[in-house]
Amino acid sequence: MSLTDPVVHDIVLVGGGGAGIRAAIAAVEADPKLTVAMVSKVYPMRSHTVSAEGGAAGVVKTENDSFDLHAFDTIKGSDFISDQDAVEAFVKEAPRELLQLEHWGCPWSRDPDGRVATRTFGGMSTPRTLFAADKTGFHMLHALFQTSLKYDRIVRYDEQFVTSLIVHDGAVRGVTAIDLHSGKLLPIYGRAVIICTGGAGKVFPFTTNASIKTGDGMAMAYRAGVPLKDMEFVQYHPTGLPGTGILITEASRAEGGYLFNKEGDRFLSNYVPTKMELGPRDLLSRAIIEEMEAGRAFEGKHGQYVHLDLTHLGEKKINERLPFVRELATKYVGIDPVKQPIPIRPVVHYCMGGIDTDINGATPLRGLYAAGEVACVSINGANRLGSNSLTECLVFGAWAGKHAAQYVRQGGSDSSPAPESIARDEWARIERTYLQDHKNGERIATIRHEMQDAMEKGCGVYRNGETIQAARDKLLTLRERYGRISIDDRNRVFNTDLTAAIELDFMLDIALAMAEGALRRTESRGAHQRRDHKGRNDQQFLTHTIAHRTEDGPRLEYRPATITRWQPEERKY
Amino acid sequence: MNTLLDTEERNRLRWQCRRGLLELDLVLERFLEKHCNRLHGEHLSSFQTLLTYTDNEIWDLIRARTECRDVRFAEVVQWMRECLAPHFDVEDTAVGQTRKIPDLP
Ligand SMILES: Cc1cc2nc3c(=O)[nH]c(=O)nc-3n(C[C@H](O)[C@H](O)[C@H](O)COP(=O)(O)OP(=O)(O)OC[C@H]3O[C@@H](n4cnc5c(N)ncnc54)[C@H](O)[C@@H]3O)c2cc1C
Repeated sequence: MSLTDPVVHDIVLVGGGGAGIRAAIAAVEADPKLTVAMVSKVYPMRSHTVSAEGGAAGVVKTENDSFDLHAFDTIKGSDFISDQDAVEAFVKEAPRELLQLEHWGCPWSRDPDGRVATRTFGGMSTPRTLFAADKTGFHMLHALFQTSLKYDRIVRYDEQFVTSLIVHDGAVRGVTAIDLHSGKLLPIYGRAVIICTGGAGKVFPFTTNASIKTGDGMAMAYRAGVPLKDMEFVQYHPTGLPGTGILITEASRAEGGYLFNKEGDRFLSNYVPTKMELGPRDLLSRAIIEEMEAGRAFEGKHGQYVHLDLTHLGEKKINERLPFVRELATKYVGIDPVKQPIPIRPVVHYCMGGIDTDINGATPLRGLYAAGEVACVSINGANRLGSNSLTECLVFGAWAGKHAAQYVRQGGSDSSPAPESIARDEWARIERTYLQDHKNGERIATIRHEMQDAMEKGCGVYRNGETIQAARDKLLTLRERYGRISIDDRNRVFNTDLTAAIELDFMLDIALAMAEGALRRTESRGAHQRRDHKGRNDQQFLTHTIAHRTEDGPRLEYRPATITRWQPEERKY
Repeated sequence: MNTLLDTEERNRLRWQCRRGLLELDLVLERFLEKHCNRLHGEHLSSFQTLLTYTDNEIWDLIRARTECRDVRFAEVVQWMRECLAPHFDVEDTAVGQTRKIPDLP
């Protein structure tokens, strides 16, 4: 038998990144009695949040800024399918959360006059992004983590890989997790569950995301009957390094970097003439792809690329303002940006879609909450603005924690305890699905590679019905082939073959939801650009895509986006 | 030496090399490929200790923004640094080309 004795807490929180830790703190602060299990597959300080360099947005200086302006930038950036009530609530709460984080020890960078320093990010009409040197995410997570240590009611379960939600009587009752140290399955019961497991960039081959970003929480919720929202919207960042996907920060353009094509043209003048290099990410990514297709990009071993040129900024400015960029370019592509332009190409960066939640982080499943990149509230709509997501982790993490605590106080999901057989069945499923010995079975790495390739070809920056359909068909075949996987490693402890198999299983579900959403949205909006359906269709698609999982693949329905004060207009920069 | 334990230890290291920073994923992946099978004794325990550092601490060591105070780690840090080699061959057709900077509206 490979089950360990269950543990019981009031709230089970999956994820120790920015959103997760913020939710844990909010929950224990909301109710001095309850305990929170914080379950994470890697140590919390190794969560992907540490990779954010750029900053977190919020209206902290009111001379040239206002809540309305931040809201409008976000809504316009979203190509008008964010929910405007959620955006309004978000921008109002943002400064409070950023200040709170400073009280917890996050060292926001300062201007010479002692005020908090802010910088401009693409699509934001004024400098409103706070940063902590070039390690914003790290400092934020560190401050949150240190604060969480003050509460002994936040109990950590590190290196525990959650495989499923325990659902009984129409409500969530906990999770099952593989304890990587022993290889056994640990049932963790709770009266509410909060999912904060981050994004799913690894569905694509070329991404800024680290290998842990496999969309686990999205897939677990989806399998438990919770819909995924707006999955077709995947953000490409315009400036990734070819070969690795390492992100060259937007700050390089904010500091005056130029994009050039092979012919030496600063080609953005043909696409986003007023904003040029400071245009939003989706428009810049598209412009680069168009240059590639027109034969005006460079050809390299890792495909086509264009140039990000910083040489005119001079060594002094580059060293002072962009030391990290110089270092990355030197180390990863062997180019010194003081002397030569940096090769870059668009790279998958962020999932706008995710678990369907309301403003409080509540999902349609009783007792289940979600926040951070895994969730879709939606404030990001069809395109997220850079630096909104760290703040989103704080604002919605806190609300999800607070509301989960409230739900537990009012009784939570504990009318009848979940039968033990659920966890036993889950172990049987794990053995059956992942650990069976198929002679000449399918290889995990092969299926993953083919899935990523299909997604890049079918659901890239530009899509059309035929390419998406091909990707979708391919995914269905891969799903079928997945039934015959075989893994070599039979050890229990830290079985990375097993975790890779489960992560791939999750990703196949997510990829299919993305492809189905992309196929059915016969218009172009934000990050979703169809060559066969150019332009927005507000008559039909001022809506969220809601995907339900069925045995025959995703079933989609549409829900109108909430419009409060800002009517859709053409999105021009 | 117990071979099962060896596989377990290798798996444990492999898991602990999964980090929040893609930059570290790439370096540590190469490091494991090159060194995993011959890590033992002092080197193994240095690597295990280094993996307990935060992502940014390790990354700062690898890119030589900081130096390790503990000299016992120096050799392993050096091996990690050697894994930070470019992933890209420059076939740069644009060197020396004149750039055109249009007048902005
Ligand atoms: C390179 C890069 C730079 C960025 N820069 C910025 C920026 O400057 N500003 C900005 O606003 N945004 C930025 N972003 C986006 C932002 O960093 C992320 O959206 C945000 O950090 C996500 O935080 P999170 O808490 O939702 O998830 P994460 O930080 O990814 O945390 C997920 C947690 O879930 C856990 N987990 C996952 N699956 C399981 C499982 N099966 N079982 C148990 N635990 C699990 C993980 O262990 C982890 O603790 C950047 C993103 C990238 C990739």
